[in-house]
Amino acid sequence: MSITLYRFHDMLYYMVVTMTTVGYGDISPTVATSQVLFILMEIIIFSVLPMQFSEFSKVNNLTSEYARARYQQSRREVKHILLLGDSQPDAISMFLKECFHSDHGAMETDVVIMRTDPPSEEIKNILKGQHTQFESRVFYLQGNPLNHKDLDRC
Amino acid sequence: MSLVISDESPLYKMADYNYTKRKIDEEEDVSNSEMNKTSLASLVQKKLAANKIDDLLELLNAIFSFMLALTFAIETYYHDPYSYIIGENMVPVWMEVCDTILMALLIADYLVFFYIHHESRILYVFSFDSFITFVSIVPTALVRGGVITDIAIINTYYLNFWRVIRLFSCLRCSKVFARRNMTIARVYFRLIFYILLIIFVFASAMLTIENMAAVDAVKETYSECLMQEDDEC
Repeated sequence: MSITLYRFHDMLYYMVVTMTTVGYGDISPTVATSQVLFILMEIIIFSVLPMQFSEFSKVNNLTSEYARARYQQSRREVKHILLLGDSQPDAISMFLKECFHSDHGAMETDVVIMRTDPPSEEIKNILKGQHTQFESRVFYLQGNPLNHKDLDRC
Repeated sequence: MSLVISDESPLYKMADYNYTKRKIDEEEDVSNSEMNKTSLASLVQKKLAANKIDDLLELLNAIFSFMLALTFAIETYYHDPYSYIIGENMVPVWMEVCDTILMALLIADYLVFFYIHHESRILYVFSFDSFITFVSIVPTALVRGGVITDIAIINTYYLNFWRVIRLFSCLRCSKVFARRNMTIARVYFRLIFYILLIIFVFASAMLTIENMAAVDAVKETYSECLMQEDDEC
């Protein structure tokens, strides 16, 4: 009579296959107690995980992507200009056009705009819409420049 | 006064109701503990909080707890059904040493936190953290301490499974994120932690039940063979 015991990775594999609802069926609970445990596990999965996902999405929605973003240099050792304050979109557009104008030669500078509010549709258009040349060089961050943590992001 | 605020983002302060509530509670706790300001335990507590050592202790606890749970997983690779019958100790010596060291560290961690909770030590003894400590450490401590010497009991998966319960203690890490007002990190951590916890704990529980059933079947067959004096067995 030959009996092989399950190893930990067998059960880990079984749990992942079950939780992802793939269910190959190569391993299954054979004892009544483990069948009951399996039902209990399903109940816990369906009650605990949705709560956590809901909390996760709630917190995630509280902050915009601009409030979580950090400035990363577009190229190595490139310097950047930090644009603070509640400027009008027209002023921002003019500044960027001037900043990246071909008359100034190859501009090796990024621009980081930090404002306390998320960008308006008009600013989004400036950054991504009409002026595609800015897209890889201009970064919008939502934050308070009087806060160290926010300043560290840019 | 500097214009630059070195504390948490005011955006979070306003948005996170729990954070505000906790801050108020903390302030109340501070005013309530005015009387205990001079006690050594409260000084230690303040020192730990000031140097952020309490956060470090929580992280170390999480690492050690995970390692203790991992010893259960590793031990399953040393088990075989026939060792149960002949009564052989299947746990290698190096694992026993690891167990003992980890348990000593976790007991020390428990004692530190028990000492720090000078205002409500009895409540701490009956808290969830203490319950997890007792359940996960006591069975193995009884074995390593020589109280349980029966090899048949030592070899059972049931006894070792309780170490996996220690994983619940890793949830204390979310306190670190809460203390530092890292709301998003806390939520990410909790989501990932719960998924891994369910996988690890139920995998261990299923393994325990299924393997013990297999071992019982072997024992039954073996005793039948002995009764029938069947050489083929």
